[in-house]
Amino acid sequence: MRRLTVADVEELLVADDEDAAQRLTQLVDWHLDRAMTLARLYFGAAALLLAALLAALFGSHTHLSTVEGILVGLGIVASGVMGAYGLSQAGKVHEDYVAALRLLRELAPLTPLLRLFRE
Amino acid sequence: MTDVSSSILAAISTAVAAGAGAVAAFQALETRHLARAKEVVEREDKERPIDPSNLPELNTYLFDTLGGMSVRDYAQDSEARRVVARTIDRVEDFLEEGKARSERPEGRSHIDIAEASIRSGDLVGGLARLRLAVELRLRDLATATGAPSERASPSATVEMLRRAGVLDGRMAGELRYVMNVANRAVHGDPTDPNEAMEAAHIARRLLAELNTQAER
Repeated sequence: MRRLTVADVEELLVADDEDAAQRLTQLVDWHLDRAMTLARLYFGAAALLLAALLAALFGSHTHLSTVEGILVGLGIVASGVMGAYGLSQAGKVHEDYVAALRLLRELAPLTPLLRLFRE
Repeated sequence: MTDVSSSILAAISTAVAAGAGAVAAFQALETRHLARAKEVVEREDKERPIDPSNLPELNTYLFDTLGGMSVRDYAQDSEARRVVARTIDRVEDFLEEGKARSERPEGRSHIDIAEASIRSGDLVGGLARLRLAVELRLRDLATATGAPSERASPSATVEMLRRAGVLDGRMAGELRYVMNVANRAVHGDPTDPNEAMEAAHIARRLLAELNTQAER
């Protein structure tokens, strides 16, 4: 997930002449949605692979080789780790939001200058 | 489970693991890139503080150097926050210093520098500075008038000030002309030096009129 940068906040000030803070809220909401969707996808993939692995191990006609078992395990661990990472990133979006609001307020007096460069 | 389905399951798992690995690698690269951006901002602040009067350099610094730093680094690193605050203070001082010559007789106003730049052949730099001077004055007027937003576009601010009676029709028209000439130059359209100089003279007269009006 791409992180918010100072340039994103500057572009918001240039683009939104009325309520940059509201636009920032929208932007952060999109970031959060995206982070949560990715985390859910990874956890979902890990759960599906785990279920398939268990079915293969305990099924009556199991022919899962060691290599295949390791690959499936690798898939479960990788997607689980990515899901946990995505969840931790989503948790930090709130911190980013507060910092971006502060930055927005600090950069507001420079809006004419920023606009001069961008328009 | 048959051999075929076991192989399919293993293939899917491998694809998922490879995809997750690729995403993780991309994230790691991005994190590294952002960490470097923060280091560059902190290093430049120590070794070569930005000169706000150099507009092209300021543009690159604000949008690329400082702009490349992540908001998370700004949130988590007190040194990064100090650097950003210092930069903003420097740029604010530059904007304030150039606003009115009458307030700081020892310094040169944005208009003075704009005219000098146009005379020396730097039309884009001069007209960019001219636009900045006009926009800053309009913003002050809008704030003093209790405008709904101090971040409105210059043309919207002119219209709002005209409706509020701060500007008459002639002044509003002349301000639009000045902004139009400056905008064309800033956007890279060919500009006649005489037209640029005329716009600078008009802007100087208008700002003087507005100062007189404000003193009354």
